Amino acid sequence: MRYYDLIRRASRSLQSAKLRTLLTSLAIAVGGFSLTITLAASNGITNYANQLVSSNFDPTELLVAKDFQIFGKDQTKGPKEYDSTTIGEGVNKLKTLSPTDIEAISAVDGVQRVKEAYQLNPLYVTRDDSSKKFDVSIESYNSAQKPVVEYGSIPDGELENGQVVLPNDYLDALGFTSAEDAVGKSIIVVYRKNSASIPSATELQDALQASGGDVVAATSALASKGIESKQYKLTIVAVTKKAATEISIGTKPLLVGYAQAKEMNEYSTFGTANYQKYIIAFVKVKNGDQKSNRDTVQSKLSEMGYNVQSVEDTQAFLLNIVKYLTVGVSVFSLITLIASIFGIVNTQYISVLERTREIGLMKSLGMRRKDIRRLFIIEAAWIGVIGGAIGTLSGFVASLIINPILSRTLSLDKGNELLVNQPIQMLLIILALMLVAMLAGLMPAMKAAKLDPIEALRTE
Amino acid sequence: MLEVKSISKTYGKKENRFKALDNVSFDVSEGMTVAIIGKSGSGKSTLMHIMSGLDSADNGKILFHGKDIQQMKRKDSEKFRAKEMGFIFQSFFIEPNQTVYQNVMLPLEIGKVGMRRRKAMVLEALESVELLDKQKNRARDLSGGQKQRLAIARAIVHKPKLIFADEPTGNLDSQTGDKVMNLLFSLNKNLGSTLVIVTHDRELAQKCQVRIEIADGRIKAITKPRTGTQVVTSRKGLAPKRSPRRIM
Repeated sequence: MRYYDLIRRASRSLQSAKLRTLLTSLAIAVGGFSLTITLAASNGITNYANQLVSSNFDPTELLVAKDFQIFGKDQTKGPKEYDSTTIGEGVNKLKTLSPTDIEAISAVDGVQRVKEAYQLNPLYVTRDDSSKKFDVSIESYNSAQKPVVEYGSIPDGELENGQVVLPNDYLDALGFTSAEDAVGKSIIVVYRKNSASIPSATELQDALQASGGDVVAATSALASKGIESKQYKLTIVAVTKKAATEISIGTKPLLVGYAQAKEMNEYSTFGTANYQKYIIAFVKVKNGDQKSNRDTVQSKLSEMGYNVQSVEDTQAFLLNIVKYLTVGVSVFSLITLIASIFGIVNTQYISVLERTREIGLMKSLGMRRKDIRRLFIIEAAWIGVIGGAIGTLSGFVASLIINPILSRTLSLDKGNELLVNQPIQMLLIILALMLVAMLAGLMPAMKAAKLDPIEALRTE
Repeated sequence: MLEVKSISKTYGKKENRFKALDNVSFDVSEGMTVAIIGKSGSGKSTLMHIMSGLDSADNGKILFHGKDIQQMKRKDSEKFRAKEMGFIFQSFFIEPNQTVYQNVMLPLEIGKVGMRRRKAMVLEALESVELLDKQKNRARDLSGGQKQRLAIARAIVHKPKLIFADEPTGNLDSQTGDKVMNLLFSLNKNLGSTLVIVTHDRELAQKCQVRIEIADGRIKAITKPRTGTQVVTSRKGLAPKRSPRRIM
């Protein structure tokens, strides 16, 4: 029989048992639905991860570090050999980039400029001498982050010395009535010089005398005497609010210009082990929008022994996590499918038994075993397609309903839906379900093909 | 056209062995109406199954225009049956949920007849059994007689050379049965196909040109036109004469 005839015949037999067909398809639809939602969520999270990376990192920059523990690339197990160039405590020491490294990196062909990442440890921030002091963190401004400005404006490129961008978390604490009120006014950030200065013999004697022989008191007096601090008066040029794609936990940092940050860092670390030691540097590639240029620089720096991470590497790392999650959740959908396979086998088997006379008739009229088998497999395929269609479509509708609710709950912006359906994926799901159903229908189909026509016709 | 040569068939194993057919032979000429008549269990249905290729005999040959259909590969035998044979059954065996038109279409689909020729053939067959006006009706809505006429239309739609009818009037009342048989006979005359009817109805058998009487798996008598009844006289191949039982 021609395939066209078989397909029509198959759909006719399913139509004459509508309820049974529908119920069996619904079992498959459940699997299809959960697969659709899983993939939609995976798509959404992937999109979000990509946006996260592209809005926090400059795509033309490479991140370079000395230590391979950064970016998770160090595979050594067991205790690490002591390296005197590292900073940090205990077993959490990290190798660092020195100014020599920075020079060497800048000299590489294709590198436009290198910016070191500064660890800034301000003591506190305050409005003026008489106001309350607050803990604060400060970062150097990175134009790739595109902060969302509530009031004021951030100049293109760099912030100048003396300029600061204030997150709106600090408005109340520093006594501003609004973002508008804050812009143009100044705040004070205080840094402490962390190096210990060794007291002279005379200073020691004087301190002991002043404390009346109390060594402990004398030592703390000397220690506090050695602490120097510096006040930075900064003018607020803009107040920012949180963007959905910002990576930040807790109170957001104040932003200052790169040169300012460098100065603050060198002041506070001068004389300490951390002076001019950098964990990460941002390397901007010449014509960095071309991937080939980035790759060239990346391989050159790797050859020099540095740990280099591009934006793609970061994206790949995040996507890997998403992939594993997707596979894990899909396993549950697969379990549902396995259950529905048994349903199909059962339904088709009963169908074969019911239609014994019909099969006997067709065989007596000369229909080939192959065609009888195909007929039942096509019926099973239909069930898979119908189930798949119902499942994916209801998954699509469910996304339409759930997305607004999710976006509100997680405060995502438009374009950041959590459930993203791709038509190709939906078609593939339907195709896969069809194949699964055909596989399930194989055994009953073979049984139908093997029926003895005489026995079949004999049934009353 | 169809030669049955020394067909034997045994069913079952060991103690349950039962000889359904024993050394059956006869010829069927083209265009004839043949009745195979016998009581229930005589082996007539088995004989028809073997003649049509639905079953295979343990010994013997079935020659169709000289070709032994028992020796055919299954694929070829099915193709042969689809093209050259039509079947009519006692319980109609129509597809109740499909329309009259779709029912008659079945042999053409199986025989892979070209799409364009199909419609004309189906309508022609329906017209010859006077069911043209009912072509869109569901088969289950037809009366018994109409259902059998539908079965006949299906059996002849592809213009086969050989039509087998197994107790065609078995489920019909005598009036309807007569109508159906008259239809069958007239079609047989018009189409020139050979009609083989398996029945236990003597009246029906009388209407056929050739009558083959079968009992206990053996042919008892063959009646042909012009030659009259031939009783199989030699005891060879016949059931042994029963000696009366001594009742003690």
